[in-house]
Amino acid sequence: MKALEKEELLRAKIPCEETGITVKTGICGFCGGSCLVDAYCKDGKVIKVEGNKDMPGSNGRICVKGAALKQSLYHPDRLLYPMKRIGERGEGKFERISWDEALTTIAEKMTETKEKYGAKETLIYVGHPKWFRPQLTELANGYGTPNFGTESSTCAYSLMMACMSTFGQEVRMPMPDMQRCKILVVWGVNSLYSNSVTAGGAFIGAVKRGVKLIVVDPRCTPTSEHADIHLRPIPGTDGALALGMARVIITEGLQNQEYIDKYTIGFDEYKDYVMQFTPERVEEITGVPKEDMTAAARLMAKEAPCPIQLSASPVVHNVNGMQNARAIVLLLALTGSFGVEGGTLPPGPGRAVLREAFLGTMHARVDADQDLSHEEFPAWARLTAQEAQVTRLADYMEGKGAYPIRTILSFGMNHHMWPRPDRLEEGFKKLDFFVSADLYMTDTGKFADIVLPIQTSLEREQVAVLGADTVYYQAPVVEPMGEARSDMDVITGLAEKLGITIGGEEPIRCHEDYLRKSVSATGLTLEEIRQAPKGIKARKIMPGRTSEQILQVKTPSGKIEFVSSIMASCNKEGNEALPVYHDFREKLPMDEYPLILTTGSRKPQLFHSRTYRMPWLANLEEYPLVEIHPDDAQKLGMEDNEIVMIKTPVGSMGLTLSINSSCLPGAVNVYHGAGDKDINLLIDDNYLDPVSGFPGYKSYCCRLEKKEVHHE
Amino acid sequence: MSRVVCDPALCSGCLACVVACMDQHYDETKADAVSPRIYEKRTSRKSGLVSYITRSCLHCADAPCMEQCPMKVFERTENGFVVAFHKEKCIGCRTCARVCPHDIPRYDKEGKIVKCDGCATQVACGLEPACVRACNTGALRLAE
Repeated sequence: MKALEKEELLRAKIPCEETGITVKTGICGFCGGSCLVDAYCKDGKVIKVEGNKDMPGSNGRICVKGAALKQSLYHPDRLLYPMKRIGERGEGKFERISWDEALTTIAEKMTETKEKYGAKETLIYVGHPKWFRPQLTELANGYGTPNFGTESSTCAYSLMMACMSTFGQEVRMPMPDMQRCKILVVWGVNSLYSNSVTAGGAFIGAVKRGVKLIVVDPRCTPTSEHADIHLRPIPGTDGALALGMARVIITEGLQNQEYIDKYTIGFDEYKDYVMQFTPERVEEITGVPKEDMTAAARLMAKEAPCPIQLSASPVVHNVNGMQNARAIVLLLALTGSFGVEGGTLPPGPGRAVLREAFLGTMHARVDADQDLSHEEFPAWARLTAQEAQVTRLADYMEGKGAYPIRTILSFGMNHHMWPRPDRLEEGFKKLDFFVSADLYMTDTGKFADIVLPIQTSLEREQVAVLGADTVYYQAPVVEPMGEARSDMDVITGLAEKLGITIGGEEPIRCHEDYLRKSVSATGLTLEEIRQAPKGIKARKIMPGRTSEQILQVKTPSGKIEFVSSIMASCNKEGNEALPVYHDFREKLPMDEYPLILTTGSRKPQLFHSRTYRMPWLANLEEYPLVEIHPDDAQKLGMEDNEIVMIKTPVGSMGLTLSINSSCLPGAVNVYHGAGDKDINLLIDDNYLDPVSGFPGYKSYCCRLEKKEVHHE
Repeated sequence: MSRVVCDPALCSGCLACVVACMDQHYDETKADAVSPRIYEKRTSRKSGLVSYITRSCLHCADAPCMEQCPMKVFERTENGFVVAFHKEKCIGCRTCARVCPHDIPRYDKEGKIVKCDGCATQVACGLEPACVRACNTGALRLAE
């Protein structure tokens, strides 16, 4: 009986002495949310993952992606050793080499490019991971290239530009006061699917507290199910909607005039501009019934302060995206909701911070005015000086920029994230030298000359500040796979070969140096933190800020800017000082391609391409899908699960049709990142926001055709 | 009798429970593992929202699957869960599927029964079933 009992305990994965199963705290690095997880370990292996109940600001649960974490950790595609290419670029034939050979070769090739053509013809690039970007910028500086670029070229920077130009350089994204707000506008966010453990928990908390809720989203989502008012604009028309709401507020005298007079500049000019956005015209542009738009505007203004919850990409993946985002965040100024209790970026207690951390430490680049995007995107250059806008990388590799890119050193690069990845593949073939550091052998890595194996977050020592002031430590949960290294050790190892010092007077020579320096800002030592597996309170925290301090904004005028002085200084088409609305449909052949193509929205189990690698997530549904509303399906005579051809001005492919009444009629939804059915092949890489350089992923054009009719 | 119940008003359809169930019951190499927890599409009458809702075995008091299985695959645990303890004996005759009033039994690629075990051992140890432990919105709970 005793033996059976132990077998049962083992099978149920019960952590106890008898089974030898232990529970280790890990910091999940899967989506960037950095949630604490409980990793159940047996014989040095993770056998199960749960949420961590002590994590501040979380519901203590695990999201669907985290639940499959062991399929990411132990994936057969994990890179285990440095390798060099022995086949053609893209073929995927490699042979094992030593770390020393790899780093020596990379240093030699980078030096060769620098001596022959100049350092700026090397691009240093980071994909999804963010934590080591400050140190990699230092490497780029030491080497001498201003061409340091990241996936932020299509992620959060456009929204950050909108916020920074309005509220000053310190305000990248104003966060809602979820605990105290009486009304909440959720604009294009579905926290029950993305960041469900943290933001989802806060959202459910606000709903249970009885907050009045306005959701702006073209589609129905579990979040919009809780809304008092759900506005469903045509994707990409958010700017017109926000300007229309502003007009309602101003014509009815509901704006917070005292706040406007005291803290803002440019109101009169803005007021004159918004007057053309009459409810009738806004209904025509956005498809939102004018009664609903008017009701939402009134509710916002009357119940203000009213925070607006935004997310990195949904609004700004549009060719007028940055200006549309400005129009939205200016509603915070109009209603006096920015920087106040119950609004956004509220006054509050101090926070502990880490030094040398992403968004905590920005290093200016050398020769930033010589990077490849500087002339084309002046607003980007003025607002996000820490990196180049690299959406045009295919052009740069092809020699269509001011000078060519010949060498790329990349970490976590995925070329499928850009429009026309086929053009990037052609560009990779032309490179002199290409390095890909990654967790897996990826489609991008197959074009590299050298691939480097990187540790997942559970394989390295980590520190994080969670909640306001608790510093968490994660010892490596498992041994590194093969010879995988921390990105930081790769950067410092390469820096050594190149004769570059990272970290200035307090050099960072390895991952541990980085941690030591990072935690010094908390007043704790790494040793103290290592001994506190359940977290430890920081000794030093940044002082809390009052509303008055927050409202002394760091714009050029020192006021919240309805008319942006930074935008005014750009002197370039599309870079207007007012949040001007340009309709994307004017730039597209809508007669031939009458449906609006939206890509990049989420299912709970999807996070870009990486989740397609994990069978338990990928197998939950049929992929790749093209979703349309039943009315559109009926008009087109199409049936559920039928393979249909989707066509855009730059290409076509066959996808499985999913008829889904969550969709807005007239708008087609395709999920991105699905391996060989990559929807980005069908997005024109010249279809960019002239302000931010962001591709118009959420509002392009297409048509659907029955497959059997067209034999091509 | 014990069972996991789902509050449809709170369920967001995030499917964390489904994958947590697989994480509990399988190792990562089982790429085509069948989830004992069942997920099905539903459409909101109010808005048209299409989302998932999940369910699992009710561990019936008069469990016909257990009563009628010719191979005696099932047993009831002390804490009331009907568990396929002797899965190796399953011959894939699908009697359990025919007699189940709730369409619960599923079959793996060898044709053997896959069904919720209520995480009976965890519950006996004072822990929550994997799906309840994972549920992001508090929709799932263990009921008597």
